[in-house]
Amino acid sequence: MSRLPTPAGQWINRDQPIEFRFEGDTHRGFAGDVLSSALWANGVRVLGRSFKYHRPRGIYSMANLDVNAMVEDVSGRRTNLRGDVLPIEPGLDVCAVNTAGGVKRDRLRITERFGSFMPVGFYYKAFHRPRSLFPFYERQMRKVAGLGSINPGNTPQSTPKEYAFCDLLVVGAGPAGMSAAIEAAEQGLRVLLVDEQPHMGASGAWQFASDEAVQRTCHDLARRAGALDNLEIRCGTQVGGWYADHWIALIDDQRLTKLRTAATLVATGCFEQPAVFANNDLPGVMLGSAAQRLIHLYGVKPFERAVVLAANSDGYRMALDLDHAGVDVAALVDMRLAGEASQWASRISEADIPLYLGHAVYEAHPRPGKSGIKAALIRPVDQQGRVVADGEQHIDCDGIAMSVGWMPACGLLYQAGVRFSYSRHIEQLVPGQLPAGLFAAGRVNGVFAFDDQLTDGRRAALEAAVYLGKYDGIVPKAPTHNDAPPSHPYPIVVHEKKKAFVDLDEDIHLKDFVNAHQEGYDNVELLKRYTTVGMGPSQGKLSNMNATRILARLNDTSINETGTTTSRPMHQPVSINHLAGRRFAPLRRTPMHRWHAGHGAQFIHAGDWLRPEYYRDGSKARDDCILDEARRLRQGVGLIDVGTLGKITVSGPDAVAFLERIYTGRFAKQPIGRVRYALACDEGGVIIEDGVIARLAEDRFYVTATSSGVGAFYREMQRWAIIWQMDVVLANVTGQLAAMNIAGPQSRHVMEALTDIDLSADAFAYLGVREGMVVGATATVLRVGFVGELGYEIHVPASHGLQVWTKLINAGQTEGIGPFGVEAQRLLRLEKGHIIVSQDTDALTHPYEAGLAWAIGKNKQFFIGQRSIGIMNKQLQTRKLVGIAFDENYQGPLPEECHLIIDGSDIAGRVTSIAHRSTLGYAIGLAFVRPDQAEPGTLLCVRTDGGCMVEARVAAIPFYDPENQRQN
Amino acid sequence: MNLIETPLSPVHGELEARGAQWGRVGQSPIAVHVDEPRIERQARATLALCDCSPLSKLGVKGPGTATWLGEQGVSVSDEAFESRALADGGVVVNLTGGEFFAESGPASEIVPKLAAHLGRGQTGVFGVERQDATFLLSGGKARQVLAQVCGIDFDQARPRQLILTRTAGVTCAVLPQPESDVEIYRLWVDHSHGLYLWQTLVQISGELGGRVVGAACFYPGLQVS
Repeated sequence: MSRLPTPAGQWINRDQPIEFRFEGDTHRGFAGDVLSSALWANGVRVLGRSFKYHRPRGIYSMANLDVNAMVEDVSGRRTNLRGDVLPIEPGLDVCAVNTAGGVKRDRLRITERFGSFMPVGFYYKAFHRPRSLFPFYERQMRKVAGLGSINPGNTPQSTPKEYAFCDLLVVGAGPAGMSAAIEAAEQGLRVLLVDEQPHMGASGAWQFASDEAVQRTCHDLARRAGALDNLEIRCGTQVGGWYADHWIALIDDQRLTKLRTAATLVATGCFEQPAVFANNDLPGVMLGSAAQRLIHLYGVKPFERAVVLAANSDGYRMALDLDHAGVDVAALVDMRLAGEASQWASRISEADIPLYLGHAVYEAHPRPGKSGIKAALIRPVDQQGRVVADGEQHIDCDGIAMSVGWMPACGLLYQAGVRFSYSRHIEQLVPGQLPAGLFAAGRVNGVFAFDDQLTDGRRAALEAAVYLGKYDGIVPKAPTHNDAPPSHPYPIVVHEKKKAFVDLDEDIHLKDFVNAHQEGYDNVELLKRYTTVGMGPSQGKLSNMNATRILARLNDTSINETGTTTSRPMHQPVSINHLAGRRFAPLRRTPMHRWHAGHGAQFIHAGDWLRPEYYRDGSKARDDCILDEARRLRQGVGLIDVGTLGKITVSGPDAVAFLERIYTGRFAKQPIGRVRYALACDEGGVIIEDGVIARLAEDRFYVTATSSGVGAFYREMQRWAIIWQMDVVLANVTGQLAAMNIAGPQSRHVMEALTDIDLSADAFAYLGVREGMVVGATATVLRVGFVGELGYEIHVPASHGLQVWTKLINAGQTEGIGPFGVEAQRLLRLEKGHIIVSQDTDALTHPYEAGLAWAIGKNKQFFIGQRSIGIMNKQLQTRKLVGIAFDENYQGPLPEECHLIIDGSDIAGRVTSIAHRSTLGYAIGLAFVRPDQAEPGTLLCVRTDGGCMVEARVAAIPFYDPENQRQN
Repeated sequence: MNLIETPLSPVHGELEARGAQWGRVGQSPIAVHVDEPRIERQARATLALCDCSPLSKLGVKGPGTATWLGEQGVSVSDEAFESRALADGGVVVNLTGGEFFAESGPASEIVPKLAAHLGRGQTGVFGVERQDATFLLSGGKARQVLAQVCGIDFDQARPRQLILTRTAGVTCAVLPQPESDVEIYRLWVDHSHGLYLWQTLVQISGELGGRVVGAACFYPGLQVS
């Protein structure tokens, strides 16, 4: 174990040891550790293998800016987990992704031997011919260059998704962010402060951990922030993306939060950038900030003997941190010829750390198997910043820590449309004009000194308060950086033979850029796509800046002329499951649902509704159950839940005129107490709805519509009512009413005992409507015959539905009543030749094609679609809906819905409805055919599954009871 | 003819399965207690979900409704989506466009009276069947539940003002309750969506440590019958 004594390791709890497993070995860490820190503390240096060459990799950023330590659960439940941010917990059992045989002996490391045959873009050139083999190549490449593997057997874990609101979102709880959040809250704003780290403080916690004054300030800021009621703090929460109008995706380990904020203040700081030199990817080479994080946050000694490569004062501070942690700092190698002008230089001298000004690390010498480093080879740098061989020195060490520069964490700002420009003053990109409601503070804004960050945070908060109308005082100016640039302009050292990595995610090294440039990829966007730099899981957080510097030098242009690539959500990868969150799948159920479920109903989805398809009867097959339900109704009595039917009330002085305009039929002379079929078309004359209209009073109508179409149809009705300025009152009461249809020759007998309505044929004839009481509930009863039998459709308040249903079932026992489901109803209506809109019609069907010309009122002044229907009627009709039937003894394959009618080599039509079995004893259906094929008796050829052609005969409809005797 | 009229809440079965103790509102059974009263009272302050669907409801719509309601002694607001208390402990809301929605308290006096008077020759007043499920969500964590199902900033909501929104994907009306010792939100949803929304709210509330409670938590006068 290489744990340091307290106060190092402020994020871990040494009283809570935790055992976990990595690559089959058991290790011990502490609560608060992440996988990377705990493994490093246990002496594990190889945490993963690289993407392409399968080179060993260790800790690099300790900030989730690289994917060197990427693991998956041994259980296969989770994959592509980042070791830098994966908390250890009891039972954690993970292994590295993308290896064959484990991370120590990965057999795929052999690929590096063929590295010279695999420059960037090699697959574009090598594997596109012959084209037929590309899928094979693709599969093989994915195998050797993949990340984690997805286990398709996983059960998704539902995670919550929530909405949140605030006046000001402050992103980043470092010095600038905390200072800004407090200032904004004190100005009266509702502030939300988020940080992706589990604790507040950010760079204050590790970069300035040895500075007592800074620590006191940070603790004071955290205390003040915690005490403000209108300041909410969410640590462990990353801002996944910025979307228009300040919609923000917040992601923590529990949930995705959709935040609506009035303004956003970005204080996301900077990412430390690596230097590029030979073997700069080996375990033991890491960013200086990673070493500081290991020391101060996790109490882990990063190395025993280190070489520090620096190009700013941060490197000097880091070297002292290493020294204080007991690391033997063998050399501080400063790439700058002039070195450090601040107090840090003398402190390094006081610590007896050897200082090499104007030098750079030329190469890291690997241990056997590249499992670590054993030395750093340093060389002097000339006036042009290029290394020279004279004066080369070999320094034994097991670690190289780099502090050569920074890149603003600018993803959110890019997403919000901000353009960045390069400042030679600080050798860094800085944001330009910010859009309204967006503010930046701290290091992302080019402000580096600790006190300046606090000032800049307050400044940005006041600007936000002005924007939100909470402050009208003076806003101070942003501080300017007065010290040496914190970034080196070109921290890249050319090695003629060995790989110097620029993008660790994609295994892209310096020569790849030179080659790509020679091939003509001299534009930053093209270079990105050709080399794939910045396109790995880290999205270029550690590579884009250096790539831009390299391209600028290759083009001999400035960085501003070279340009940069942009950033898109998500800022860090988010599992699809997390993005999906808890899935809401609204379901509508009728009041009788529980009864159905308790009586064997097999449910189907019908739009949002759950409906009984049929009721299982013992071990009978589905089709037998359906046919039995249909026969029972034909012979006795059946009951179906039709509560899903659309139900609309139309009232008021203009109700009649309104219905006449909406529907094709005539209703002006419809007597009170009578029901009429109603057909509605759109302006193009296409059938969009059908149902019945019952007249309850002179100015009051009850209208039914299709289950799935009523919502849209009701909105359309409302729209027309407004356009026409009619005095009509509409109400969609679909869900407020239960409805059931009792049908069959015995239905009247069953009903008689349960209602005060006179059910005699004379008093309540077919297509009548009555209001009365049924089983004590106020009811509207319609005499309709969708299934072609004597029947009563009973509509009652939803809360009474179950009671009425149950009483009807009980009362019908002696008559052999039984429930029937949607499938039996579809069969029975098909036997009667009734169409179902949207099944037997499509988006082009007009009434003449569907045989519904009789439903069009003659000599009407106006109805929607009237003009179009008139035009279409004058044109040559191209299809017609007809009945089709198969011989009673036919035994061959039968078509399904949508199977085609074939005439020679032409498509002549299609089947719209089919029943393989019916109460008639033979298969029947409806189909669109050419008008010349519509004559009953015409033989049709139907292509069924597998291309088998079968013959059906056009039949007159209705198939059942053509004289309509049974429903009267 | 065997006349039985016992209207049921869409979540009656769910409460039955939880062993609810029943009382009555009008002719409807209502779950008075689902747990020990002491536990229910605690839950009310932290996070509780309650079914009050059996409370009688009425919709009226038409150009003459405001006048007619006034004639019936029911004071309504002129402001869109503003609610007023009913004398029997219920509430009446102006849904705009000449539409009003009323729900009685457990005494169930005003809505049945209004329903009885409807259709007696008045012009421009039409009844609208309302069988909405009524759920009450209360306690300090109620907002956390709402945050997971609906995109409304309740910090900006005013007591007594109805919010028409979607909760868990279904159309829903939410009324922040005024004058209460704890935060209470009254949710109305279409009867056919009642069970779905209830089960969704129960799941989320459960994850946040909430409980299902009986209506006596909010209407102390209700008794087990």
